[in-house]
Amino acid sequence: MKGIVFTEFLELVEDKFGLEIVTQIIEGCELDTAGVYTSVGIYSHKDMFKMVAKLSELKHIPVSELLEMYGQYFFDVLSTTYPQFMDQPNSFTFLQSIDNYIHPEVLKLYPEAELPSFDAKISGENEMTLLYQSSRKMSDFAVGLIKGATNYFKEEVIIEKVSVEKEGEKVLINIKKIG
Amino acid sequence: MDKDNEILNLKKALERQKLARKQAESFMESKSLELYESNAQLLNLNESLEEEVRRRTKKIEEKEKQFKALVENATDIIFTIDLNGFFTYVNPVAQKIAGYEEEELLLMKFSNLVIESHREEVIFHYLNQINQLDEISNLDFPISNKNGEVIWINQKARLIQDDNGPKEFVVISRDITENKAINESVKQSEEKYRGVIENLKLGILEVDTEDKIIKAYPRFCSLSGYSEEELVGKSPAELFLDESSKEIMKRESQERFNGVSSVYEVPLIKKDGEIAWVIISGAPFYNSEGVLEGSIGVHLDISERKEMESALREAKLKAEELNKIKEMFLANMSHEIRTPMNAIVGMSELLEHTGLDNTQSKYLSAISSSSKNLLILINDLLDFSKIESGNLSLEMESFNLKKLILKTTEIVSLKADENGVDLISRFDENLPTYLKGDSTRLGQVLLNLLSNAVKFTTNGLVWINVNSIKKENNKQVIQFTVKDQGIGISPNEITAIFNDFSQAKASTTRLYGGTGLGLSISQKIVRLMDGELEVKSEFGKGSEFFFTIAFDEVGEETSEEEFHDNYKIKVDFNQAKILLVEDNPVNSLMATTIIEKWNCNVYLAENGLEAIDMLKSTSYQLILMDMTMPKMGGIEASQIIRNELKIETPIVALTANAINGDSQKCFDAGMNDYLSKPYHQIDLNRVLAKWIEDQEKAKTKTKTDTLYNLSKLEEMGDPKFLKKMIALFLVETDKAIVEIQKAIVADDFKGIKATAHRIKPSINYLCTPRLFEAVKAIELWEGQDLELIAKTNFFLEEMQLALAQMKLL
Repeated sequence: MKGIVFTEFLELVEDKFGLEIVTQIIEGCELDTAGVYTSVGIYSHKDMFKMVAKLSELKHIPVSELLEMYGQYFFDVLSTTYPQFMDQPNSFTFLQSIDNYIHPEVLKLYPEAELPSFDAKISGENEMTLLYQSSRKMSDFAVGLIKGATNYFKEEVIIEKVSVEKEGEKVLINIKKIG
Repeated sequence: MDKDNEILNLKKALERQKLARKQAESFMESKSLELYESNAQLLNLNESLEEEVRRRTKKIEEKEKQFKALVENATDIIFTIDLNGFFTYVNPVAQKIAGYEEEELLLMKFSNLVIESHREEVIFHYLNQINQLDEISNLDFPISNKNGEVIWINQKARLIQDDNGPKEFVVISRDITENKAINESVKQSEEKYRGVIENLKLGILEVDTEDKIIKAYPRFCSLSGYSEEELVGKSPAELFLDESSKEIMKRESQERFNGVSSVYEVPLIKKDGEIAWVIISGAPFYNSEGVLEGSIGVHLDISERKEMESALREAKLKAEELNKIKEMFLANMSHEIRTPMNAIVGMSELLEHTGLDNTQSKYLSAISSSSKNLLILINDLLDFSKIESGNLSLEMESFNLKKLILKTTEIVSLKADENGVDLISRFDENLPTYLKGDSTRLGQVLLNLLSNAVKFTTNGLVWINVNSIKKENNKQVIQFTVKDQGIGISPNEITAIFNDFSQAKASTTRLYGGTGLGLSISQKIVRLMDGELEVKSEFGKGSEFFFTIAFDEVGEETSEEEFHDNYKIKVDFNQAKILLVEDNPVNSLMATTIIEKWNCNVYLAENGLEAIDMLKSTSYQLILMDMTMPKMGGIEASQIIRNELKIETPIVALTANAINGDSQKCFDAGMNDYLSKPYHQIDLNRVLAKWIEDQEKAKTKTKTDTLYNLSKLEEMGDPKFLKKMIALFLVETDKAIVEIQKAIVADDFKGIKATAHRIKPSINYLCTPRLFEAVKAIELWEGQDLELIAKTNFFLEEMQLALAQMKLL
């Protein structure tokens, strides 16, 4: 998993819950890196799950909620860092461009990256579906990212998981614009 | 405590940050190194690539130089043109052939060089190649060079293309002017002969050495009715010929394959089964290596000609048949005319001695001369018909020339006296006494010429001159000339006088009589003797007829010529018994009247059957036998008398059939002599004198053991004559025996028979019937040659014995 996911996570935890919680999470989990992350490195995704689970335990917030929250936050980071990907008219076309444009570009720079797939289907002006597929089973993180995106394009939507298969490896997400 | 904890947490975070920075730095470092190395590698690759490019470029340049040298030194014309037809490159040969410098050519369009009449076609060809994107094309056409010379070139043009499509042509051409000229002349000559062959009405067939048809030309196909497809591969002999023609064809084909050309005719069976007669001329043909490939047969349809030939053959047969009928008719007519004529002549002679007054004598003389003229006329017509039908053959007998001339002049002397003509005969001193030839026919010609001369001359001279012209190889060349001082012939009539039925003037017939056949017959007879009757004449002054004939010379006279000379009528036959067989009452009355004058007893039989009956009971000294009679004719009766009754009494035929061959029939039937009707008393008397036998004499003289029999000659009662005849017979027969022996050695069977024929009459006179039969058998022999030789040898032995016996006499 890209180092930026770890560094931004720890920064968000430090922002929201303070350095004390960061220290507790790092010391409370048996991490491969002892909590040392750089945005250009690549680390095991298991470390990420361990840290999210620890935070949920410490703060009594469900993991799914935490992941969604973090997704929403991480989108802001991404959109600021990589504004070249944001040149889209609306959230639907943006979401469609993930599989078609953004992830192929990412793979050029980081060929070893393991990326989820987002199979997008726009059905009408106000509705689309996304099929999330990834062995990381992080659809909640994906929902957060979608929310971040709709916020970015200032759109109001209802996001709904239509179906979950293979213990979350394959999740169909429905997005409906409101109004 | 919180502060401490906070500081501790910050320290820990700081520591993590340091570690993260170091980690990031080392990551960056490794990434930089990686990048540097990649860069270095890339740089290296670039350099080697440049090196490779340089190397290859050099190689390409060398190759290009090589190709250029090749193109520049090539013997072919090589050039390139752009798609508009402008030259972009020309090699030296191209410049040389075109006659333009490179700089000139590079400003020209290729089509400028093409001869105007072909230009459009050539441009169209290459535009088409561009449109069709054909990679390569080949075209022959003529160009005109700078000097205006026409050059035929064969041009291969390759269309070069790149990604943008067609770019240019690369062209290789070759000067084919010479080939073209040769091809053209070969083509022309081929066309010429093909034209000739197609237009000739000749069916042409080519066969291989296996006699299988390779090619059949249209004319042959229409001739045979088969199409070429049906013919190719077949054997012409199997297809077209019957068995006998196949043999001919096989022989001719063999000849042909031996390299000999030939011409022959065969009937060809057409597809529809009909026959087409063709003349085939065949000749072998060879391939370029001179190996025999087959033969060509040229067939000319001659069916029409063949049909015509067969029509002509038929016509000829028909004409011959008609000719035979005509001859028969003439023979019959002559018989029919001669019979009453015989009565007229005979009766006139009898009437003469019945005490006539002057007027009666005058009338009788007119009857007599008219009937004689009529007889001449009939004889002329008969001769003419014989000559026309080719039936007149010449006898070859010895004769006394001088006597022949004298006898002839004697015949016309009476008429000469009447016309006041003096006849003058002149003989060359060098003339031989005896010659060999047909004296009768020669006499006939001379008599005709003399009669004419006398007829057309009044109070003048008529000459007959006989001159020896030369003598060579036992041949005596003699010229006969009859000259008169008569009316002569005008120049415009002289050419026609030898024509059939023609006289100098139509009026001649009225004035002088005659058939107009005399000179025509004479000319034909002279020509049979290898001479030519010619005439010189001056109108009003006289004519001269002459001809020259080469005779065989003979030592002495052998014929019966003398026999007739100076004959005196014998008036007493001492009651000789004569059997006259004659159906015509007038003729029998006449003959009886004449014969009885000479102290003979005549017994009459009206036909052969009656005669035979009478002969069975009575013997006679002579039988006079008419030929044509009811119930049984003379020939049949004679055969029965000789073969069945075995009676040897002499038989003399009284025949009106003067046509050739009759006399032979008489002899063959066993008769001894013949008398042609109408006959004069003197002829009848001569025959009687010759044959009437003194029975007593015959009985005492005939011996069975001798091979000769002189009774026939003895009864003539002239011992001197008998002696002479025996001497002559001995000499002549000896000669004949030598001739026959020579002929046997030479296998000359014709010669044997001819000699037998010649001596047969004398053997009949002087020898026994056995020898006569023997010689007759040889003469008429038609069987095996070996048998003939055996018979001849036997005859020769007997004959030699007979001669020996006769020499003792």
